[in-house]
Formats: sequence, C-alpha cells, structure tokens
Amino acid sequence: MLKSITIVFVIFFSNSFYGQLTGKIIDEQTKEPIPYATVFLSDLGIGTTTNSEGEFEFKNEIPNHNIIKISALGYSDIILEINEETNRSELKISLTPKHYHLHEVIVSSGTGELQDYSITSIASKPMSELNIIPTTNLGEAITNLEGVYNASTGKGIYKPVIRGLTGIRVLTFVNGVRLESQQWGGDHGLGVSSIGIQQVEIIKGPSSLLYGSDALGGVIYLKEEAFAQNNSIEASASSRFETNTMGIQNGFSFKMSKNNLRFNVFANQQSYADYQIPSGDYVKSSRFKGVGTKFLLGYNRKNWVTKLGYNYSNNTIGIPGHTHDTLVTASTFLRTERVREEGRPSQKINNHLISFDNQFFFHNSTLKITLGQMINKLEEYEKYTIPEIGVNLNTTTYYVRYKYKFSKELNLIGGVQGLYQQNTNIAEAEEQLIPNNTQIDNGIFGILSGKRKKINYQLGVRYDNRRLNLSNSQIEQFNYSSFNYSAGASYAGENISLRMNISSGIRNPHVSELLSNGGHSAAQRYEIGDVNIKPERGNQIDLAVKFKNEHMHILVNPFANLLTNYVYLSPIDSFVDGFQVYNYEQAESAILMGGEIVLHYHPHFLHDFHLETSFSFVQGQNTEGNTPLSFIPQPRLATQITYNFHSLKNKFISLKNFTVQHQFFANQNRTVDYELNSRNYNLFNAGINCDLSFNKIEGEFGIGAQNILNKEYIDHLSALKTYQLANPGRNFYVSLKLNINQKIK
Amino acid sequence: MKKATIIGTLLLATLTFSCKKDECKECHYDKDGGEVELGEKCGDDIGILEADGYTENGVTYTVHCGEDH
Repeated sequence: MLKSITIVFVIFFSNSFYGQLTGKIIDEQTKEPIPYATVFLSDLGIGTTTNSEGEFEFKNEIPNHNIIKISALGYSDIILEINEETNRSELKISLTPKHYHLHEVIVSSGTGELQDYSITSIASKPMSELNIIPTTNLGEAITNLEGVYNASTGKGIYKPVIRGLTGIRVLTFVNGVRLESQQWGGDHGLGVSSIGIQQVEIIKGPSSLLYGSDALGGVIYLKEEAFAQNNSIEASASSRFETNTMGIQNGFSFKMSKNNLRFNVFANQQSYADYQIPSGDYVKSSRFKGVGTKFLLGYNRKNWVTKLGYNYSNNTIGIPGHTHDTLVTASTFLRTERVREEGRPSQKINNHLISFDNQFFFHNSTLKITLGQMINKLEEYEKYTIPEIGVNLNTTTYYVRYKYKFSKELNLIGGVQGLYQQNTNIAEAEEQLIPNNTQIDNGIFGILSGKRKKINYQLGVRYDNRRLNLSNSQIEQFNYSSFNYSAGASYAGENISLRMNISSGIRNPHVSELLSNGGHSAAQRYEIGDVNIKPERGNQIDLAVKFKNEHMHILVNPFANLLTNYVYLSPIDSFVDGFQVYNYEQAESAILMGGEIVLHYHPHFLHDFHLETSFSFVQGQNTEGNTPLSFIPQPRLATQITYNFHSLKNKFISLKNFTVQHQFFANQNRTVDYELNSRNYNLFNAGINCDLSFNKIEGEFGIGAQNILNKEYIDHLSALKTYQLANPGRNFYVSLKLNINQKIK
Repeated sequence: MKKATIIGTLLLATLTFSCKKDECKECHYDKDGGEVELGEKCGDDIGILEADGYTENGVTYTVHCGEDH
C-alpha cells in the first residue's frame, strides 16, 4: 500500500517536469532585444513584461507542457510549449517584425489548440474588443461575433443565439464549469455579468463530443481575466453611465500575484431604470438591478496547477410586456415617465458558482480535473409578496480529461464528464410548472488528434447517458443513451487555410418538455409537455475557407445542421387561466443552413485603420411540414471601422481609438403562422476612447452613442415583438476605468 | 474620544434610517378582463390581501400589488 502511494506521489510531483524560467526576446532580423514584450503563461494565467534588455523571468515552478505566448507591438505573436528540451535558464525567443496586426493568436480554452489549427468553427474576441463601444450586458456584447445573436426581453433578460439555436440548446461555461440556470424558460436569461471576463469564445454548432448533452447549437466559453503580472498588485475601479435607462454600472477589482500564489477579486453593482423607445415613452417594468462578486485563487506547485473560483450574483429583473387586460395595444405596456423602483412582475435570480480546477503535468501527458457546484434560485413574482414560480436548482458537475502525447504530432484525449442535478420547487410558490426531479448525466469520450505537415486532423466518439428521476409522476424514470462523433481536418497554409468538420450533438429532453403543465405568466402562456418527446439530435457539416495576406483576411464559413426530432412550442386554440395554451411538439426533422462571411481590411498605407465587416445568415426549415422554423434571426451585415491613435504615455489624456459601427438587419419574412414578420433596419453607433495617465494611475475614458439616429425598430428575436414594442432608442454613454499597478518584492 | 463619538453617532444614524419601513403598494384585482383598483395597501396587509384575495358578492378575486401598470 505504502509503495503504491509512493509511486503515485512520485508520478504526480516528480521534479523533472517543472522549474523556473528565464529568457530573452529578440528581433529576428536585427537581433536587438525587444523591451516591453508580453510573456504570458496561459495555463497558469499569469504573465510578465520584458525589461529594457528584452529579458524576462518567472520564479514560479512552471510545469512542462505549459503554453507560453509572446506578443509585442509590431511583431507577430508566438506560441510555444515548454517541454523537456526547453532551455529554462536561457530561453531565447526571436519575434518576426510585422507592420500589421489583424488578430491576436488565440489558444482555445476548451481544446487547448491554436484557433488557426482548430477543426471546429470558433469565434473569439476579448471583452475589450467586444465592448469597444460598451454594451449593457454580455448578450449584447457577443452579438459583435459573427453568427451570434441575442434573444432579449427588454434590456435585462438576454439569451444568446448561435446559428439560430438558443436556450437549452446552447451551453455556457464559466471557469470551465457548466452554467445551469433554468435556460428552458422563454424568459429565463443567461444571468451572467461580464465582470472579470477577459475573452468570449463561441463554438458554433453541435459540440457534444467535448461538452456533452445539450451542446446542440453551440457553446459559450467565458474565459476569466488573467491574474496580475508576476509578483505584482493590480487594482481597478470602473463606472459607466448611460442616458437611455439612466443606467449605472460600477465595478472594482483587486489582483495579486506572488510567486506560486495569486488571486483575483471582483465586485460589481448595476441599476437600470425602464428603457426609452424612440417615441419618448418608457417600457414598463423593463428596469433591473443587481450585485455580483467573483473570487479566483490560483496556485501552482511542482507539476500541479490549481484554480479555485467562486462567483455570486443577485439580480432583480423586471419582466416587460405583461398584462391582465384582454384588449391589448402597444400603449398598454408604455408610460410617459421613467421608473427605477422595483415593481412587479419581476424575477429574482440568485446564483452561487464554485469551481475547482486542477491540472497535473506529466512527462508525456496532462490530467485536468474540473469540479463545479452551482446553486441557482429563480423566483418569478407577479404578486408583490408571493412568488408565482420558485425553483431551486443545485448542480454538481465533474469533468476529467487525460491527454496523452504519443509524439509531438499525435495526441489522444480521453475523459469522463457528468452532472448530478436536483430541481426542487419552493413551497411558497403558487404554481409548479415543472415537477421536482433529479437528473444524472454521465459521459465518456475519446479524441485522437494529430498533425501531418500542414494538415491537422481530429476524430472522436462519445457515449452519454441521462437518467431523469421524478417523485410525483406516473412515470418515475426517463432514461436516454446516445453516441456522438466529430471528425474533421484543417489545412493551414501561408495565405490560405481550409477546414472541414462533421459533428453531432444530442439534447436529451428536459423535464419542462416532458411534464410541464402550468401557466407561465412571465412568458404569457400555459405550457403543456409531452412524455413521448424523444432526444433531439443535430448533425452538422461545417466548411471554412480563409484567405489572408498582409492587408486583409477573408473568411467564408457555410454550414448545414440537420436536426432530427426537433422540439418546438406550438400554440393551440385553447386558453387556461387567461393564458393561451402552448404544447411541446416535435418535428421528425428540420434543417438549419447558413453561414458567415468575414472581411478584415487593414491597408499597408494606413497602419492604424481597421475595417471589419461580417455577414451572418441562417435559414430554418421544418422538413416534415415544409414550413419555416420560428424565431430565426434576421440576416445581418455588421461593419466596424476603427482608427487607433498612438497614445502618449506622459500626457494626462490622449486619444486611443475612434470607432463607428453600422448594422443592417434584413427583412425576416420566413415566419410561421403565429409569428410576425420583421422589417429591415439600420443602426449606427460611434464611440471615442481615450487613455488617461497621471502619476502611477492609468485609465481609460470613453464617450459615445448607440442608435445615433434614434431609429424605431423591433428586433425579430425580441420577446416584446408580439406587442410591437420597440427596442431602445438613442443612448449616450460615458465610461471611466482607472488602474493602478505595483510591483511587489 | 471625540472621534469615537462621531463614528458612533454616524453608525446609529445609519442604522436608524436604514431600518426597513413598511412598504406601501397599489393593489388591484382582475375582473371582467380589466383591473379594479383597491388603492394603496401597506405592510402586512399586502401579503394578507395577496394570499386571501378580495371577495366581492361571494366571489373571491386574485389580488396583485405593486404591479407596474
């Protein structure tokens, strides 16, 4: 026994896999040192900058197989993996000068691969770019990514839509843990704030191989902000004000990194009054407020890297578009004065998310174990004191991945993933829309990935099982099993890269689809489930061609996603408790087809000018009835022009960038009989960001406007479209962020 | 000592003024496809009225308070 423990200990903590790292960054052509280059260790989440001699040093114990990213202004980014051959005491890295900077090189959070070599369709951007013109919530920010839309109920409730699919067909990961927050409800928003999020990564299309059941439409991977630079303290305070809702958002962060230990703390508070439409009226009950905190602790010792995270949020969100009147017009939901005070109907959402991530780096392999616990409480109030619906959702998740390197060019990833979830109605609630239940998911998968010359390939299979146990139901248990696959290859040439992938996804029925039976006043319908609903399945083929040179890159990415047993809500000519009855129904098959075209132009003669334009298009068809699918986004042409100024570090205020955005949404006339068509519209936004610098404090000041022309429009995916309630009118904003950094010994 | 007195007074004032007051909300019940106003109700009356409903001519109607209408 003792011998076994010793062997395990030696394997886990052998000192041949870790050590300190010192090096120098030089210009490949001139061999001169490059000062102020950033050296970032992505697995540890820490970085440092080179000194005036181009030198850097990490005194931490850095394990082998860690990914190191080096970037410097005017040079191409470099990604390296630390291994046994790395000269840890005198690592010399040469960077190639480049006059342009189209996109930074990104390592995918989910797969650990470079995005250029990924075989799946991934859109990714830092929050700073998504919010170059600040948005009210994360849902609005991610619509700056091609193929991604936002299904909103006012400004407080948002649900991301990926290639036409949303809700429980899209999974969200925070700190590597699956977020579970009652996404089945039409009015249940994602409820994640953008505080402390550095990067948003969207995996488009079925992704069950890596993420399990429910990853049918895609996955949203929210990557946490990096820790403070090695051996330093960083603190920031931020505030933003917008005129349309008189909304204010305040944030605070404190980060510290000292040798092998580091932590981040964030806190935020927000309060928004009812939003104003272009006519000048205000939408009743569209106000919302909330607070949140976030804590992330990182530690590494020898070949072990761990992160412990805790996120808390408490939000009260008004539900607009609600009435008991039988004769309804748009004016029923409007008033002439703005209100901020909490009213009814509203949702109260309380979230606790604990994540515990551990990585062990071995000679030829890595082991990653991620455990999560999410406690979500959702209450919907129509009365002031008694919740209409109240549900506690406790979810425990596990995700274990073992990656074995046969050679530099061939890897095998094996893993298990699952969850245990309890959904319990609270006693005080008046309605029980779904019965109490327990859900157990377990999955096992294997992925072979490799590289041969310029071709990367990947092949994987997965088996999943879901058990749904019910206490007060005629059927006590539902049991579903499925196989999924993904296969693809990519070619990364000098100017042209190609990618093709076929993948499947599964979504086992949710208890709401099987056993709903009750009025859902927030969604304004009476919902009835069907115990015969079968698992929904998606099979997607995704192709991408990318051309790039020093002036531009062009990406063309068409896809087709064939869905079998497609589940949808269909209204019938019947009313219960004043609500129209909607039945959960299932089409034998449906297809979603479309794609994204992206152009990023950056001419040689104008280094600081960037033009990015994307076209996103999706069309849905119920092939059984040969009718369109409902609530499919409008085709969108989005253009952004940015001019970057050269900031002057010694000036109190200097221009950083100027941005103009234009979005054109085309008509959406492919609708079902219970859905309204949507008219085309154009939106214009503009903003200026300035750098601030005084003493040791640095910061950023922003000012601008959204919907500058005060265009009256109704987005096709707005839940308020039924009542012809317009989206927000013109909005001016002002934002301020101050940072202070201090080196510690 | 002077500092402690000032801090103590401020704390006491904060606690005194931050005590939860009785909230008052406009209440109504739904009848014949419209709303009938019941006026402003305060404190525990809101909870009682919402739990028991409003009875008129032997018919008990559902009461909602604080609705944004």
